Amino acid sequence: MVLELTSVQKNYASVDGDVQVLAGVDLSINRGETHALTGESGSGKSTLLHLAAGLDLPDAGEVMVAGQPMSKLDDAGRAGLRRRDVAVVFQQFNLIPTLSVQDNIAFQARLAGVFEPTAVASLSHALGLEEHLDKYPEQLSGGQQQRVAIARALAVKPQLILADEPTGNLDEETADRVLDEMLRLVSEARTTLLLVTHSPKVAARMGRTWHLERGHLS
Amino acid sequence: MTRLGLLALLSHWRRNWLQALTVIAGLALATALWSGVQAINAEAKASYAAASATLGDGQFDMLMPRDGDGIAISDYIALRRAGWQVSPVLEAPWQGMTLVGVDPLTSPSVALLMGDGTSQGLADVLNQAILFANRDTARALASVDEVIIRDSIAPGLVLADIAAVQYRLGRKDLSRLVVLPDQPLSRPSLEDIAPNLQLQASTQRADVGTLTDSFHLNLTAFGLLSFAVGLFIVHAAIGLAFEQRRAMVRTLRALGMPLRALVVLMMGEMLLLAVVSGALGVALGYLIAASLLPDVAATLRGLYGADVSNQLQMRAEWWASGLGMAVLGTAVASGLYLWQTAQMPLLNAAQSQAWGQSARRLRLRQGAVGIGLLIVALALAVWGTGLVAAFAVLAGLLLGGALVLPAATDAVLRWLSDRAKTASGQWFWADTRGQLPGLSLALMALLLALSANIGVATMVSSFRLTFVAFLDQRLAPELYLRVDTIEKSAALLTWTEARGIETLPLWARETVLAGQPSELFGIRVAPTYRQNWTLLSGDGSAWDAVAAGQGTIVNEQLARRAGLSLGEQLSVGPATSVPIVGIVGDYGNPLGQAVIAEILYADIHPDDVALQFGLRSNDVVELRKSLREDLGLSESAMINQDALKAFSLSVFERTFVVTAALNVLTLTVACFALLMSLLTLSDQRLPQLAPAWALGFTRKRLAALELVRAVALALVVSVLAVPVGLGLAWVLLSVVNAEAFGWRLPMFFFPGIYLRLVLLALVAAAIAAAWPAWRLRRLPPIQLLRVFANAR
Amino acid sequence: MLAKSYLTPLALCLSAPFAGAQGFMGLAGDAEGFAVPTPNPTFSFPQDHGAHPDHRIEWWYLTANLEAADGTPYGLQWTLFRTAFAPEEAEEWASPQVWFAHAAVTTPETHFATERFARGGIGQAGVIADPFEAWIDEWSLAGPSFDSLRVAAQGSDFGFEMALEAEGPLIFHGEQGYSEKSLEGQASYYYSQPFFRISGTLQLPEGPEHVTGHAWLDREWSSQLLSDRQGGWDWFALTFESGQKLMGFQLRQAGDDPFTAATWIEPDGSTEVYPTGAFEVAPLELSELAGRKVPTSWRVELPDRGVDVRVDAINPGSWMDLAIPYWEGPIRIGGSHSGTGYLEMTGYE
Repeated sequence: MVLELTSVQKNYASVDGDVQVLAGVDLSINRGETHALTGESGSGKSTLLHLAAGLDLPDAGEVMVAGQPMSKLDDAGRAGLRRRDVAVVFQQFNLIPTLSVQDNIAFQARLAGVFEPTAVASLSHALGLEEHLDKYPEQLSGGQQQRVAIARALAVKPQLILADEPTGNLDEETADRVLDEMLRLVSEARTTLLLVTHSPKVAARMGRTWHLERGHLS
Repeated sequence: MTRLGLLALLSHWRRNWLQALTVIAGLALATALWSGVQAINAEAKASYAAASATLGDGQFDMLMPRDGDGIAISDYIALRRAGWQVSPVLEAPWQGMTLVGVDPLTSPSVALLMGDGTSQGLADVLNQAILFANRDTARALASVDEVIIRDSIAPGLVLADIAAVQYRLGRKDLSRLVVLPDQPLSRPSLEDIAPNLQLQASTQRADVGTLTDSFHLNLTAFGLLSFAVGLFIVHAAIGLAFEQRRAMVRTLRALGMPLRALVVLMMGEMLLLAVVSGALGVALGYLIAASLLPDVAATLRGLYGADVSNQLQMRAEWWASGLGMAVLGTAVASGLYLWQTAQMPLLNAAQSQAWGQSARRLRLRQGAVGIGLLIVALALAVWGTGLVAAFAVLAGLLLGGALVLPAATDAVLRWLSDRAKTASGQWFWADTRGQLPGLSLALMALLLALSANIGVATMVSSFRLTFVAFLDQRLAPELYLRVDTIEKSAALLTWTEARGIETLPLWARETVLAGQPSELFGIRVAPTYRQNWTLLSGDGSAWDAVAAGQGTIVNEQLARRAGLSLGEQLSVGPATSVPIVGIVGDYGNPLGQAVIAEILYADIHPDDVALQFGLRSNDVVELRKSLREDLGLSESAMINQDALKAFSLSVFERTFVVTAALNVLTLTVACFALLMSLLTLSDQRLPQLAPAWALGFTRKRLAALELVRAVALALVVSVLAVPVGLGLAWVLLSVVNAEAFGWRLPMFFFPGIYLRLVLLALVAAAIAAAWPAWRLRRLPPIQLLRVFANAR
Repeated sequence: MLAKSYLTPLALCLSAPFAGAQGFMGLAGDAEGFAVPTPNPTFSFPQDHGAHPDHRIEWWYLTANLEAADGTPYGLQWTLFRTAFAPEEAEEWASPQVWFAHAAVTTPETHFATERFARGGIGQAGVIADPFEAWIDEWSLAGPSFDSLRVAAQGSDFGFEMALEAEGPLIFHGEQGYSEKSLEGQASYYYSQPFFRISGTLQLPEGPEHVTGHAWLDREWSSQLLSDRQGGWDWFALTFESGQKLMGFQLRQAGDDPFTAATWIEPDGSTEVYPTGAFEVAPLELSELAGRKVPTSWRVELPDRGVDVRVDAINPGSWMDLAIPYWEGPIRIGGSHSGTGYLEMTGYE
């Protein structure tokens, strides 16, 4: 079991009092599986992803990643987990603006101590970033930046990749190609993928699709 | 992980080198000004001490002949053999200079003054063919003798071994004996050994010591102020960097960097910056000090400890102090941001939208705190006592002024916005208001720098005016005489009266007035007093009242310490009280003084005789000659105050030059900081400008508006900086000085200087805005479009 | 403080006239123009108690071991030095003769020391042979004869006034007063009066203290005292309880064994002089003083006389922190012989 959520609840404070975003979510994902997570805007998809990445803690319930309960880990422990076992592809890419594309792609892999120059080179090639390696993020289009973020996550070869709308900024053709590439690399490395998307077409390509509505998964 | 984290953090500085330059330059310049001022203070104090030791003025008691043409060597030997630790001086005018013969074997400081710390240098001291003088004096000497340059020798003085001077002057006697500070357990009284000599206590002579102390205190305050201005700049630049790196910090954590490791790394980063900048600053400070002080070599020797072992400790101290200030300053400047980083939640989505809202709240809160600080400062200035309170006033004034600035500027901008006639005008002012949160730190730095400069310019220039006026007032008579017998006193008065020489006899006695140790002076009111003495309070009739024996003029120290004011009665003798008709500024004198007419003085102390005289003359040399020949007065009884005045002024002039140069330097720092701040900020302006461009403003128009905006903001800051600066000067001159030394230095206004400083600030703002404006004008539209494309 | 700052350059000043000044106090300088000691001297007294301006360096060196009524040991030093820029005397201030003097009182806890400087020619300092008087400022060592003297000196925090009576003859070191200092030929004229009874009053911060004891007066003059290789010396003046005395010194030489010399003195004044090597000393304990390590306990041996003693400083802090810094203080003797004495150590950098 790579990821396991048990009765996870999460509330957010708002002007109208507490809003329950996740109302007891259970989810188990095994190694090598690919899952899609769909739902309306504000349904809590990103929140679920953040909890799975240990970026946030649930108000109730437990999140286990690679067999480790998040609630038992401190900040450094969760950071260690994120470094080696989980890679996140953020909706806003979260690239480091002052490092080159090349350094951005390699950054987390280096941090995790699994950096392989050949792997990074082949990833860049596969995602069509070869010409941009010496550029800085601000010199790239949104779609290109998204691909850098994907490459950075894949370069770590983590147990689990959490991707938030990874093809949201890409035109359909590129989206297809990037998704192909992602799925190929994921299956090659027997990596697990949990992917948030709006697109039924993208969701359809995953092994299984979950729908989040009123705080519950279905 | 450490390496990688540091790489990511430092990459920010590489990509924002201007910011890095601002931080390093700001910190380095702050440290440089601080250590430069410290070095100058130390050097100047040392050279005053040396100068005053040469003359034996103020610092040491002296033995002077009561009568006759000098002191015989036998008297000197008799005193030494009785245990009196005295050192002989033979002094005489020579080639338009003063030739001073000293005995390096018994004089505490001349060996130091004349030698250069090497054995050869000290062999020269005892070499009877060699003269010693400073560069200028040496150049002016027509002597064929070998002259060794020692810059610490007072101007107009030529030093040599006493044997050499005796030989040149063909004399065997001594002018005076300096009484050394270390005396043995027991020694007979002076009357028993040399009754023909009189002891002249060091306090009897014009002592510039306290005046220079006051100046150095102010200079130190200036150094601290410069440092604070620099810190503000650093705080602003570091704040910007932290703000810009918020996202990066989140990303690094999301990618698996633990928070604690990140905070430690950032502390290391700041320490690195501080040490690099601090080291640069200390080196720079010494360069400043060295280039401003004549003795470049000595200063550099102090810095690099080259071959002079006893200066090594000093060097370490300077480095430690400079680096310590830099590290401490960086800690202060970055502490809040580090703390914020440590507290920052990992996830924080829509934060920037709330920024404007909270900025307004912050501005109002800052403004309230600022006003509170100003009120506290005012209250302390009025009711507080002690030097600590005085410095608290200083801090309150500066911090309060800076904190009030954003709210005040906002109010001005709102007022302008409300009155704007056109839509574009309204947009302009509203947009400027919108930018205020991002600009306010830079503007505060500008305010502090500008007001510090206005304050210091006022302080230094007031100081200079006061000092010159004081010297003119106190040293007006060209020649001072001292006699020791009733007969001589009377003979002198008859002699001068017969020749129509304006003579100012002085009856003097140490006493206690209004409970304060003081001196009571009896004078003959003469035009010299009316023309030269500047009364702090009291009018033209004051001297008439004094002349009639119906009033007294007291010095400020006495008035302040005893809480006396104009019109109050002062008891000047048993059963004799007169009203205070004037208060006179008196600098460089620890004692209280009261001046009354000779007739009144004679009533109180009928037995006293005037022993000191000031003589006015256009030909001092001739007058001296006549006095010597006709009345048999000795050279040493006559003090050529003109020479003393010239000497004092030239020593001070050096310090003034130093301060003026420092002034220019601080302003340059401020200008540079402003430039850097505005440049950095202008980079962030693109998202705000893109919509205006989209709505039809041309890039040319936008660029022009940017320029106008910068100048307008600088103008608002300048208007506020003038009162803060003047307040600062007032605190330095009237509060700090009064607390430290008991007298206020009068404050003068220099509108020309302020106007120049304000114009300079405006020009600096225009220059600062010019570059980004030019870049904006040349900006490819695609980049403005990308603002929309990249919008989150 | 002030005094200290100018005295250091003055020390340089005093050594400066000797071109290429080397060794302690420039004592290894050139002797050019000055008279040089020659073997087999004949002294003529009382004239030779006076100054020899044709020699470059000369001293009148008094040390005393004292004791108060309660048994507290004290040490006392009074020294007048003469050094010359040129082998002559000139009138008044033009005199090339420079005088300086050191005075010290050592208690078990504290060491007081001070100094004076004077130029020759004006009467501020000097020495007259008969009746004997050596003075600088108000300090003096004077009396009707060399055997009956009074000594006085004071600083800003201590002082003393003592009477001295000689109970034995003058002692001549080396070959009848010609004392060799190196194998290269450096030498001085050197004689002593080690048989003084001394008593008088010390002025200390706690008040006056009456003391008695024995004193040792050294007379020495030369023009080139040390060789180039010699950096300093350790000088011992030991008075044993038997009434016998021993003067010994070693001159430390760069890259070589020290040069030593010793004089054994019987209570009746008869002497035996020992050549280099006979007298041996070895440091036992070091004290850190003014940033340098100085031996304040020694093993002292003169095997020919069965002497093997340990000497310990009564106050290891007897550092003369003056323009020319050195160590000088009273010592206690134990081992094959016991007694008291004085130790002087120079050239420790």
